[in-house]
Amino acid sequence: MAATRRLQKELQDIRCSGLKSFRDIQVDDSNILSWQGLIVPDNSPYNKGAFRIEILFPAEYPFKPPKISFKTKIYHPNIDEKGQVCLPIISAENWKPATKTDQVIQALVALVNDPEPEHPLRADLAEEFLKDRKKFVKNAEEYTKKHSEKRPSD
Amino acid sequence: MAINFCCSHVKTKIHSPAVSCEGYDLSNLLSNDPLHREKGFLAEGFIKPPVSIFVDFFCYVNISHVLVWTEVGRQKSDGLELYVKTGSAAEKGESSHSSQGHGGESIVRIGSCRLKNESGLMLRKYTYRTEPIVPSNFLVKNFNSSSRFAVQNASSLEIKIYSTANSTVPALKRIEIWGNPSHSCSKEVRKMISDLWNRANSIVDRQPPDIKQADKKLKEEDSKPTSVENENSVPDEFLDPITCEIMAIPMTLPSGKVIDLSTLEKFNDVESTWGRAPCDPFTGISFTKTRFAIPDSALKSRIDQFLVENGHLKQFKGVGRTVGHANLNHSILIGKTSEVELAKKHLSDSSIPSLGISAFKTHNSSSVFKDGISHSQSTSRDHGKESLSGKNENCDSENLNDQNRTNVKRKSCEQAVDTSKKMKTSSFLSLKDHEDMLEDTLDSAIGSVLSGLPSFLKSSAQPSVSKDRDSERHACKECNSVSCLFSLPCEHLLCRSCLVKKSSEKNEHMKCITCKLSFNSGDVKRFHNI
Repeated sequence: MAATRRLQKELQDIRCSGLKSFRDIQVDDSNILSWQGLIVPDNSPYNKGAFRIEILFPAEYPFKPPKISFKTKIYHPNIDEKGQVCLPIISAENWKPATKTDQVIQALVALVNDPEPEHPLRADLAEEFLKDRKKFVKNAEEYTKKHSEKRPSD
Repeated sequence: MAINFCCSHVKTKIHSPAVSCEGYDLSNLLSNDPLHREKGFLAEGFIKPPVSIFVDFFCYVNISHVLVWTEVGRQKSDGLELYVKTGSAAEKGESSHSSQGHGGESIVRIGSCRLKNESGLMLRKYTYRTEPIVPSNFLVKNFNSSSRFAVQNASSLEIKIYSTANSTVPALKRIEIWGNPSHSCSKEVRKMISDLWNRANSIVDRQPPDIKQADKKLKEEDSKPTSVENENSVPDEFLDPITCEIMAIPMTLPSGKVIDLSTLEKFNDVESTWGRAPCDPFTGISFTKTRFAIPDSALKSRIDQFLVENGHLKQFKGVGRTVGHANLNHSILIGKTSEVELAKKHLSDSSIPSLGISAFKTHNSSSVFKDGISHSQSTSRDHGKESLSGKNENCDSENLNDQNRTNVKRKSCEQAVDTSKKMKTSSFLSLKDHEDMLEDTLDSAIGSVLSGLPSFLKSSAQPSVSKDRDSERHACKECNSVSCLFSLPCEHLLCRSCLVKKSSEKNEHMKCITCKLSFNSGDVKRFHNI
């Protein structure tokens, strides 16, 4: 399978690089196409928790983009209730095979840290984000406290 | 323990009256730097044999054997004489073959040789017990029997080059003088020398590149690429940056990155589903006639060499390879069948990235070419004049110039020959290579080919018509004169005299004699027969 060697290399590179915002990478030995990891955002209101994500690589990777979904519930205009996320660089039409997974993760972390209410998946949250930031931050903090995972200690 | 006294560590000095060539100093022979050691000594171009080189030892030396490498590149010394200078202390009993030197010292010849094909000389004590390792292709001799005392107490060694092969300049690649400090030396001196040697050797051991024996070093260099233990030792440049697999056909992109052809094709397949033209996967800039991927044949050959050397390893079992023999009609690739299919598929549709494959095939193209020709012969016989009679006005002029695309078409003409497009190719091919076979249709074939080229004369004449028709056309319709022709709007020709006659008869509504079409005098144009 073409994807295997590339994914092995990327996994090795990511583990070596020690990304601060993406930790605890778990990959099933039998299926390298499925990764799980913890997103650790720096910005308020998400900086009190960590969010588990799943990255699913298609067998045609790197010619087809990976799919990212949130396993942890998050109060975010760009991430819906099912955990789906709208990330332009992994959309099918924008995907470039030369894009590395760590770039994708960095883009995702940037999106979590700085929501883009202009292209929302949850219009209600986007509106709240734009019109009543205080309320949004309060809700998001509560939501984070309630649902998010513990941040890694180091 | 034997010590190599031809080494600066043990305070040996070397000198010669001969001038050495720049970069090939005598000091190279003593140097510890493997780079210098590799070079050896060359005398300056004007120096003629004999040349003497003196190696002065720090103490008296009991020499067990001497090794002399005499080839530096193409330069070779083939006549050598070796002398030792002995201390007066060991002089007693030694008389024959010795000439008295000054200060109670004597010089004794320990051996001489005339090398033929050998690359060096080894002189040794005939009593030497542990057999030293003789470098391959060396002449082995014993020390002169008369010199057996002298070599036990040598203060210096002289190497006299008395002749060189093919009158090249005197050369010495390397000297090794193995032995021990003589018994006549004091204990302190012997200890010091042995300490120096041990220290030098431990330095050598600590620095792997600084290997004593050049042979060993060379061997190690050779073995380096063959010992690949794991995946990580595959050089990164051999791996496709997108799939991380070893490349079968590396292609250099306009961006300078190198990726495998199969990756490029897969990428462009995906891109085409979005309706995009083939482009560079790293920059997204579309390929054009001048910007496209080209095969990196230098890298290809290095990958191939690497695979040949490491082919026994399991991890390279499934790696695609190209083979350098003809008969590429069947396949140019072994191993990756998918790639063969891809290649074939690509040959049938002529898009820009296929340039790569065809270019790789050029060295084998003769076989394809032959097929193309044989096929085209049959084609042209079957479909004969029909295909050549000038119907191919839309023939793309680029096809004619673009070798690669012609290659593509050659291939396609093997596969199927029913469409006129392919016949066009075959006619062109056969025209180009088998003119005699097609002599009768040559002119019309040229006409059909030329018709595809941009014409600036179409308004006045159509060069695409065949010559026999042309010749009947290019004459006056009334008097068949061929000089000074004028073309009417209906494209029939009249000579000047007939036209003047016509215009003088009727001032208005002149009619063409052949098609009865009326015309004004203003619409008549001069016709140039080109």
